[in-house]
Amino acid sequence: MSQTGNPGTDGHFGCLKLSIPGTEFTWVVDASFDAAVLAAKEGAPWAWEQLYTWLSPRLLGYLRARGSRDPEGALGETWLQLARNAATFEGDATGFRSWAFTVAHHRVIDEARRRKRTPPTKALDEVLAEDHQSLGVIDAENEALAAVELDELVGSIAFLSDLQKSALLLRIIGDLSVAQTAEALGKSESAIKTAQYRAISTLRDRLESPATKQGSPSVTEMT
Amino acid sequence: MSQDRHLSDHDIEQLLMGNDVDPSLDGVATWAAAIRRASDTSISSSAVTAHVTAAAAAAAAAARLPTHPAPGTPETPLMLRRVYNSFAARVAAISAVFVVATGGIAAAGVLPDSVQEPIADVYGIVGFDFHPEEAADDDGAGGDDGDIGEDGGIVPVGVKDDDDDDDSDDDDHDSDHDHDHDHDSDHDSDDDGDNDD
Repeated sequence: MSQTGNPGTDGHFGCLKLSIPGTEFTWVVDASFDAAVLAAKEGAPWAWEQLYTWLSPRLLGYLRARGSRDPEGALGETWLQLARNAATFEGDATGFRSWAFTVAHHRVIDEARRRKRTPPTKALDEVLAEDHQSLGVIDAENEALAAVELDELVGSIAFLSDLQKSALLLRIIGDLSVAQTAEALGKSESAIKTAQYRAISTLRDRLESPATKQGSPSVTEMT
Repeated sequence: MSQDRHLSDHDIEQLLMGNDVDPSLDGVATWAAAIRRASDTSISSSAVTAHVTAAAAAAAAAARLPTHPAPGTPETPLMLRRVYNSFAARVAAISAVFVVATGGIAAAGVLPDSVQEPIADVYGIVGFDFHPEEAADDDGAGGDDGDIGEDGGIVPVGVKDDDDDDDSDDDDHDSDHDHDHDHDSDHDSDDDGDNDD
């Protein structure tokens, strides 16, 4: 991963662009997000747009990876909760990102609990999907492609425990630190380190085992 | 077999951050890069507009709300607030201030005689003596709490400091009796010793 300073073209300073060689991945951390967090607490629309544009793609990816049946709806709920409690938030942009993923994780848990209490009927799911498509909220084709790819990737870690999956996805997709992941999941840092160690060890062994190579999509197929 | 290779914290951190990793972790690193890319999804502009508008409105509404004290913050009990606001409490507070103020001034004896006498009489009812001249006239008379003797010593309750029988030894004894209990104890011990002899 390389880090290149970017002076910014719109008056923002301290823009940091993180990129992974050989991939298209880039993660831009702009110091102006700190100012956006402050302005967002007062309800400035431009600040919320900036934060939303910055974080939502990854938040949506996390919601999908964790199996949310209505990821866009969960994303909207996440941002609403962030907005309602923004006045009490203390911290910078990095802290806000960690908080956003924490809220998104809680939305996933809430959705899973709701599903257990009241299993939705297939007809209701179809109605909701049609509503979203008719409103233009979801680009069905893009969503389907993203969902398929993500489903395959997440399916390859289905054997992991819930904590291991959550820790791994928050660290990779959310780019959270061990401490931030521990806070988001309500666990100790040592528990997170243990979970990610076991998850990576198990995943490494699964990906290298001949049985996995024969029965499951290979890593090269995933990429 | 890769199972035998121990993963260090450094290896794991490099992997999770997307940095170059040990060749044994290439498969996991590729998987991590793929899921990172796949999760970086685009969102429709209509969803962006709807979510951002709702969030900004909710944040603005929340910012306008009065700040509530956090749970557990001590708050003045309702009963105490009522007492503070009651008329009787105000009168009592004013009276207390007046009593303390006039009592202090009267005790200092700086009031004119025409004012000092009535106030002294009032305070005399509850046992305070603010009559400086009378106290001087009764020099040597024992009060309930004792009085100032001629030599500046305190005359204890029930002991008459008689000017006619003024005796420096007695005065010393009285003074010592009041101020130095150790001396009395020693004196008693000496008496006992004499008796023993």
